[in-house]
Amino acid sequence: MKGTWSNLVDHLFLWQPAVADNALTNDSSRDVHPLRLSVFPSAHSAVRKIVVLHSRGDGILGAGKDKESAWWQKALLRSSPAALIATTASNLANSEDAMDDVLGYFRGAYDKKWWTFPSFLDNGFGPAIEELYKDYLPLTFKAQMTAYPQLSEHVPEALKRTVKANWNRLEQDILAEANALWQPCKDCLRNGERPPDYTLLAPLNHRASVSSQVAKDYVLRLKKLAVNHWFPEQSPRPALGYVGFEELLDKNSTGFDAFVGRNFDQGTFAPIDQTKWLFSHSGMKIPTPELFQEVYQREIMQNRLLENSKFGRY
Amino acid sequence: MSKFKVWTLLLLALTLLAGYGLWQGYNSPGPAMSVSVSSNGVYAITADRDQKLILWDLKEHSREIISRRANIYSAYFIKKQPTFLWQDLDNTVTAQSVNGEVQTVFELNKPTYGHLMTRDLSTYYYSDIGWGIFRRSEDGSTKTLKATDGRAFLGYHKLFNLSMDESEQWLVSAGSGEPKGFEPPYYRSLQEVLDQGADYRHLYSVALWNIEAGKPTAKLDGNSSKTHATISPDGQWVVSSDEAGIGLYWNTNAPSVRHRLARVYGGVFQDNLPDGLPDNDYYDTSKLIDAPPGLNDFTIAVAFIHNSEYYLRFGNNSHIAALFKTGSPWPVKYFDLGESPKLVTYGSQYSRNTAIATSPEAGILAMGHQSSGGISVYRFDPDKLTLKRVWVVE
Repeated sequence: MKGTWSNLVDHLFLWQPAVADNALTNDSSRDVHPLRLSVFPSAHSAVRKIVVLHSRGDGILGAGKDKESAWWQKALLRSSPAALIATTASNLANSEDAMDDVLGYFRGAYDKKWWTFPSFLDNGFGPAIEELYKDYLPLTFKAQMTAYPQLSEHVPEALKRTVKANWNRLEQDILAEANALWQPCKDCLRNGERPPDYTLLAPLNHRASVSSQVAKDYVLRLKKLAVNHWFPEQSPRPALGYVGFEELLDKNSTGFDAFVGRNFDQGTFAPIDQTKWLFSHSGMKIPTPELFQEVYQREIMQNRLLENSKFGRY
Repeated sequence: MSKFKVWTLLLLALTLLAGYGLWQGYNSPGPAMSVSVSSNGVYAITADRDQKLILWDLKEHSREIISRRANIYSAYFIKKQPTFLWQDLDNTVTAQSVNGEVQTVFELNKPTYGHLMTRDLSTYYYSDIGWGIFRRSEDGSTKTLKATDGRAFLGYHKLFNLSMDESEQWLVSAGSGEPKGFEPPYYRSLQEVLDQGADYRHLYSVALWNIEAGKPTAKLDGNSSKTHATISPDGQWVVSSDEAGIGLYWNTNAPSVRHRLARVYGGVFQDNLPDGLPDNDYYDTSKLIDAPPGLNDFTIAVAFIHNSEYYLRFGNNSHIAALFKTGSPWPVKYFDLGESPKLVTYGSQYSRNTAIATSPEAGILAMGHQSSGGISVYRFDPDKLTLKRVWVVE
């Protein structure tokens, strides 16, 4: 979808991105998130080149370290070049590793942030979906079932009517909010200002604006989710910053995506696998001299930004 | 039996057990970092992570520890010779024959990160931590073919891979694919690379070097990120593959013409098609063979397995290798290398792609394991197109 908003940015570097591995595909139907929050089908068109750095050593995004990595740290006292590799690797890790590891054992942050519904809101610490729509409850028959399990097969007509009425009211209010903020959002974007936040459509606040079509789609998905007692039907995709694109090129996998392969072949996407060298989510935050010179200065500044764009030049 | 005697026996048993354990540790190989197979396929030399240099007799299934102080990236068999090359931790380079006879010894001023030597043992080519290429002549003089660039090895997480054809006319180097530019011709010319850094300091992508002239004759573009490449024994073909799954090949007679290898599940990407077509339309799948699950285009290494005719491509996190025939983009067959022990192809070990080695003349493949010591050895049958594991040392 190339158009007015295409190629605004020359280079995008995604460093351990905590998004689904297929987040960059152009096909929104590949989104397995219950509210379609995990695929950004237009994102690629705004950028001319995307470099994704990923590592299976990132305990925040995946199952944690492979047993292989430990030797680097153990081999600290050995001499060159093995020692050099080991010391550098150890320098890459910093004091926050311990916390990363603790969280990593539970594959904590990534899953909680994106997939455990309804606590995905506000990074898993904010209001749950019932909180967000508390003025519209009940939206499901679940409460009734819990209180009177023996009546679980039977839903009183009155409750059915209430739930139906709540959904109608919520849908109307959501659509009303989308319509009401559509123009202000557009105006803000035109003037280079921050667009207003949505309230009922808060989960879509990562979008600059929400059209009524997107709002309708959102309500539809919300209803499907309610029917499933707020549990998503599809399993989450692994994190891009953890597995990279590996599963997207295997035709036997459900994630197969010719779009991603095409972008590799056209030179617009580039993966950088750091599994053997990056052991924690925060490993890149405080660069060592080696990292600064060999990665930031050479590979990013010299070979990509200065070579292929007017970065820093007026 | 008195209590004292029981305790003495127990203590003795414990001491023996501990001693046995220590002895085992002292003698067992660590995970191989560099492997090389002799041209006749009878020997392999490995340098492992705990710095042991081991000579393996692939016929007799025996091994000999040559050194316990070897540079982990220095195991190399000189082509067509019963002689291997290695460097110790004091940077002394030794070429010695399999029967122990030392042929050449010299001091180098730095540790090598990959090296090779001509058949007559006169000329030595080596790379360093900064992805330089140097030529040391018999008289001890050294010439820089490619200038070293900081500590590039640490930035790219892999070696600057070097390979040479049998006629010793060509050298191929492969580091990291040059990022594609936004406008045609998309890649820098050799002259532009030279203008930006003396002695081709910034030539990271695949390059074909004329050994005699000591200069690159072609820059082979199109790969992305960490790239491995090799030249066929007859010097006619260069094949490359990388961590973005881009596989390419060139004929050295026409190095400006780039050919694409098929993605194992996706097909051959068609260059120069307009934007906006359905994704599948960019791929030719007409001659794709059925591919088993578990293959991966993201490639750790490529290696010739039968003369200059067949080569193998090893995907990351996979134990299935793809067989290709030179001059064709299509995979010919897939070989299951075995799940256990896990091979060096597992765990994104681009910095250990030197632990995968072949003798294209003898059809022998030897490779290290993911985290355990030892090697797995395979034999290729060019008539039946089979690759059988013939020896596993764990």
